[in-house]
Amino acid sequence: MAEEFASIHLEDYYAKFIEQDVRPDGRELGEFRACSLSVGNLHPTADSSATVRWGNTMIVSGVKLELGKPTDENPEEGFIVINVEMTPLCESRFKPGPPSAFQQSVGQYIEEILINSGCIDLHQLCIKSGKLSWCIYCDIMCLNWDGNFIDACNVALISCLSRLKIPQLIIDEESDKPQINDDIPLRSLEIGLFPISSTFAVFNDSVVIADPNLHEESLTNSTVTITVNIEGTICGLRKNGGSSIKSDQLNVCLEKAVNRARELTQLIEQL
Amino acid sequence: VAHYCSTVQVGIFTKHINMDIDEDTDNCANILPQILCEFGVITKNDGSCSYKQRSTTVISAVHGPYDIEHSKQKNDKSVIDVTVSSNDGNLHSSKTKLIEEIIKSSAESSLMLYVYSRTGISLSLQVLSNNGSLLSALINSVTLALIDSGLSMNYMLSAVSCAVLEDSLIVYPTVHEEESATATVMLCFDSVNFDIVSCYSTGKLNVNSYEQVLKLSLRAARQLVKYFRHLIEKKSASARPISSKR
Repeated sequence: MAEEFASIHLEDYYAKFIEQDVRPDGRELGEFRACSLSVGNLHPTADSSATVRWGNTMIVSGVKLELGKPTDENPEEGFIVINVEMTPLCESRFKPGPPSAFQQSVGQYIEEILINSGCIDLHQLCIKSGKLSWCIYCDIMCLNWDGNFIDACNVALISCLSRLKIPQLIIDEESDKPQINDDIPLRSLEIGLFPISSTFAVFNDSVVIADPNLHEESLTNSTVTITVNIEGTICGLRKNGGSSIKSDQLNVCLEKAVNRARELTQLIEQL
Repeated sequence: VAHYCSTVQVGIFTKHINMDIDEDTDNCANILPQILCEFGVITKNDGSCSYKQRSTTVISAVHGPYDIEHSKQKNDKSVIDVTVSSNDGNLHSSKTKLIEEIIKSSAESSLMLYVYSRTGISLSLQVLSNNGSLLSALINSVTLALIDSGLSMNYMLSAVSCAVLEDSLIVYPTVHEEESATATVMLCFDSVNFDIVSCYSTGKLNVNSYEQVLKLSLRAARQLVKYFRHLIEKKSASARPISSKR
């Protein structure tokens, strides 16, 4: 009975729950879903990999190290290239073919979160100035979309990068070919404080809920993504139009985001 | 007809000054930069506006509501399409997609879309010169173009860009100021309650800086809305018949 009502009048169904300060999946309005993380699933194909289960949302990410030539503008820097895949497998709204505007902007934003936080200094990826540098290719694939893609993706990406090990290279003087120096142990990629994002949705023009799932995302046209690190520094703030949010509501979201950053940073570091 | 903003003072405030926000903005020093605005620059469209803020110039044009194919129609609202053309010829960069999406969703919330169901509204923006604070210039010019077009709106949007430097905050920073800033924040407010409609930040800032940015941006937004109202009054006072030539 409840399912039929939900499928016909999703808004009214949700409104009845929100009045009682709770949501259909049992969470409170400001509660995030549990996040579970496992690493090294794609070993040895990927140099570093992670799988994130965020409620029902499932994301797999893999990182590969390749060699490349640095650009002329930044000869001392390497590259990080992030590619985000959303296929019809995870949700029927995505059609096969070139990415839609929505997919592009989500992929672009995941990359921006990482760059904005400045947690990875690209100079450490340089092998020979102007000639050779490491290029980190990150592929993130969504297996099941149940809302809040950005936060889950971000956790998967950071877990992968924090576990990436870079080998030391010797460049053969005569043939100019790089070779891996097996004697020196692999060094880890140096990352500063992790940027952790938290997404909130504005429901019914007045109520702010944390971590919207798929149904909740379809009911709202406005989400706020706040990226903070464990120190409480805001690395990113994005709200894409839709219903407006009051400044004090945004402040509450900021506090929640900082707490969430602490939880997730601990989770990523523990494994 | 061009209208000039009354002062040219650019607001630079240090972090040590305690700013009290007065509801009555007449008591506060004007912190808006010089803004030039002209309605109806593109005569073939339903509404247009040429907007210049410091030296960033943007033209926006509104066309709509118009007929769109049945498969693209929405029963309960109008479909908005935004195109931003940059001045450097870079048509398909993903940064442009991000900007278009922010403008589209901001415009969707400010328009009464249910009035124009099963139609399309297209917003075309052309960047003529970019000297910083581009996103806020784009959103402000879209608001004015929508007003010029006469479409029903819930509220006006007022967008403010703010750059956080080591010891000061700058409203509507130039490209040079943006590059030397540790963070830039664009906040877009509605003109009724001054709640946050959209926001976008780059760089890192701590919570204290964010609070100050919010206060400063609110001030600037209130003054901007006042200025918009002044522009609209002048425009309606000098109302000319639709078919006249400029």
